[in-house]
Amino acid sequence: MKRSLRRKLAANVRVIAPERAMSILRVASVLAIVALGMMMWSLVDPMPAPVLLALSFGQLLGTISFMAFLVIIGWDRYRQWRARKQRENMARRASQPDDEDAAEDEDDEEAADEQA
Amino acid sequence: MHHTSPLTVIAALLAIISVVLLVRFLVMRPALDRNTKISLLLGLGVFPIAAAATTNVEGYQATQKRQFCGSCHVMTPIAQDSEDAKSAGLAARHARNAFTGANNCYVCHADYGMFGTVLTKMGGMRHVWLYYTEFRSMPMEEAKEKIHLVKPYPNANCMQCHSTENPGWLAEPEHRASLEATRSGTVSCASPGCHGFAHPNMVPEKDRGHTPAQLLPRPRIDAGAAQSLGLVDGGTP
Repeated sequence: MKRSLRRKLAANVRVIAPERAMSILRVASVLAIVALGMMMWSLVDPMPAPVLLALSFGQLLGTISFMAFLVIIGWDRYRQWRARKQRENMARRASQPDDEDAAEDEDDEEAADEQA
Repeated sequence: MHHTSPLTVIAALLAIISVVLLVRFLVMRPALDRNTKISLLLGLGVFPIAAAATTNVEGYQATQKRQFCGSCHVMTPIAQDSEDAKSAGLAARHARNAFTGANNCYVCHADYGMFGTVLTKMGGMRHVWLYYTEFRSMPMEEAKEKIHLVKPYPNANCMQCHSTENPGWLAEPEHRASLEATRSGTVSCASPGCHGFAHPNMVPEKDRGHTPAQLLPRPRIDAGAAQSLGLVDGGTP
């Protein structure tokens, strides 16, 4: 992965705080419940307004909620991957204290960028 | 419920399971661990997508029903005429046919061909748009004058079922005489001189006045004859 892309990803990951991620998931859940309600309405009363609402607005809300879930899960996975990577780097540095060249690898630069 | 097909039951069950999972997440507020992720994947992804797919199929089928088309007040008289067992209108006669039956609006007005379904649905959306923007509060008498087909009704739609090739059809002298005109669409099957108006109760008074008596819609079957034929409930004879 290119360094600039990794930097961008890291910056975006920091934007979503864990509490905020849970809030987004809660909003997504509410949107999905509303969308499912529209679908149920169209099944119970298959007339133009409910059917068209379910097939358009309901689909849109459902898609948004699922996309929000995917984004949050992707974010969470990336956050876990980064934490693991940092732990590995720290462990490697601890085991090779004199190897200064190793400190110049991409991951350390990225960490420095993030701190900056 | 108006319509309880197996798909409706499946869609309802999937939706209920999703809602239960989502409400549980909202109420219990669990941490974002593996179990929560799986639960949300089912509640926000798998079950709602399956419910949406089945609802789409059900919704698509619902849009083909006469009940759906007739729910807008400007279309109600047309739907009522179709359901009238005594009506001799072209639409009503087709409504008694098991093939068209409750879907007679869609079967007759659908465009055919590769993109026919899509074009028909786009046309239907246009109808909905026009209804909510122009005709929603329009009195019926005014609507009768203003509502008209965008293009002449194509004989090709009739010919999806009535091929114009069968010997019985060709044995009719009037069919033979107008064969080319019928196939090319220059003479409409649903014209007053041929099979009559499809929706006789929607013909504006001014058009009735200018139409020779012999070309007006065919008369309704009298009540006694309808009773003897068992046509009192709008069902198939």
